[in-house]
Amino acid sequence: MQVAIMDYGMGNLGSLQAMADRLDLDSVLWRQGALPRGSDFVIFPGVGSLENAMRELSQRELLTPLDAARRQGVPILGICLGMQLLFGEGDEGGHGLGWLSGTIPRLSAKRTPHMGWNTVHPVRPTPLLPSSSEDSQAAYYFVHSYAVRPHDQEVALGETLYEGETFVSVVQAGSLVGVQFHPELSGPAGRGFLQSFLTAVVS
Amino acid sequence: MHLPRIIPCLDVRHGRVVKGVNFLDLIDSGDPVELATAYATQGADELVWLDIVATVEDLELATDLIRRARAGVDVPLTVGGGIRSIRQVEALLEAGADKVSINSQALAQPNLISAVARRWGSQCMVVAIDAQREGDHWQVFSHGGRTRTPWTLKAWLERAEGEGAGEFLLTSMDADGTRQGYDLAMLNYARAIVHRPLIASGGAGNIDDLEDALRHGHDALLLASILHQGDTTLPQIKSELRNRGVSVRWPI
Repeated sequence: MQVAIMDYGMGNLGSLQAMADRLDLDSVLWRQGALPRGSDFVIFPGVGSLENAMRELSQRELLTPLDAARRQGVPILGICLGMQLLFGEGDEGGHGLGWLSGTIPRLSAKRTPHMGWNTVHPVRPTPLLPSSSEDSQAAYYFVHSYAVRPHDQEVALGETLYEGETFVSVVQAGSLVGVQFHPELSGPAGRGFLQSFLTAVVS
Repeated sequence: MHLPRIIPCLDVRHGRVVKGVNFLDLIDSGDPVELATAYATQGADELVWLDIVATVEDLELATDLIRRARAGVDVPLTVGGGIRSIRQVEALLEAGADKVSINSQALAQPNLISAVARRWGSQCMVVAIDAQREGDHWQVFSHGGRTRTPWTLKAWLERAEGEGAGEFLLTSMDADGTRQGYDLAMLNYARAIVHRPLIASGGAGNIDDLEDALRHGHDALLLASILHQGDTTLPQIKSELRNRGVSVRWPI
């Protein structure tokens, strides 16, 4: 199986490529133009600001082919900023791709970024997350100062609590999945999530 | 539930681990790649890799090792030690580091912080600080604690945060090496000043010290000599903290 990892200058891809290797996936970097031939799904990572990310995607002429891949039903996994980019409007100006309806407000916590390990509580049944009875303490690594607020609650699969605020940490709409945490940095729990994603969404 | 970070520190010189090399049944006890992988497997929530990358040769050696470590390390990896330029940062991140930690050069050239934060995001810019008590305040030292700087801890924390530091790694020179517990007075003081995550460093001697710091709300703890001297292991630390009612990442 082959994954196309989007490389548009927004973040460091070493840990993602290492995770792909550990899962026995072939990985190719998608830097410009059409989706690399033979790709079964796309990982859409990103760190930094929404505005910079959209500008880089646009300048590298990746917006149109990415949208084409989505329309063809190619599974796309947005990670961190990549998840936020699936949505519409950012707090400090800037727009995401707008594929999902919702906003991206700043976390209200005094201490940001929300950095470290945190649990995800499923808000509806999903094969992507361990059920709470099975593994109530599965924790994932987060680092972010914004989080999505979907207009359509149906897309929310999981929620996370930080400094008294609950935010949506996992979304899915068909073959489009977004996670606020970094599965590639989340040890066995992250690996488990990616395996579930491969089984439930890609295969 | 937000969980604490227990962060082993690897001290690497010229490609070899220089402390704590004898306690993990490693095939090659001085191999930092093997040690990093072992820590990650044993439940480290993150790793800090301190190396010296002063020369081109040092940097090449470090990037080669980090690239190999990355293959087996599936938790965040921070690399620091003698970083002086954007080019070095780029090389370390490309090798697979998730964050870089900068100390002396940030003091010499504070706009290095903003340059890294602008290019890669502040989440990958860790500012490491060594500080020592002087009367009614704490003073910042550079070059491994050898050089007193004009910066008070408060002034430097504020400046570094303003430049774009995403996280602080704060070592108490008074507590470091004493194994008498973290310097809670300094950590509490620093936490009241900054709005960024803070990694506590220096002074951990036993599990009581870890529990004490965690109960005071310091949720990221660097472990050095407590692991290096072979008194305890990460799985022992985590399971004992759990027994005492402190939530940690578990199962590993």
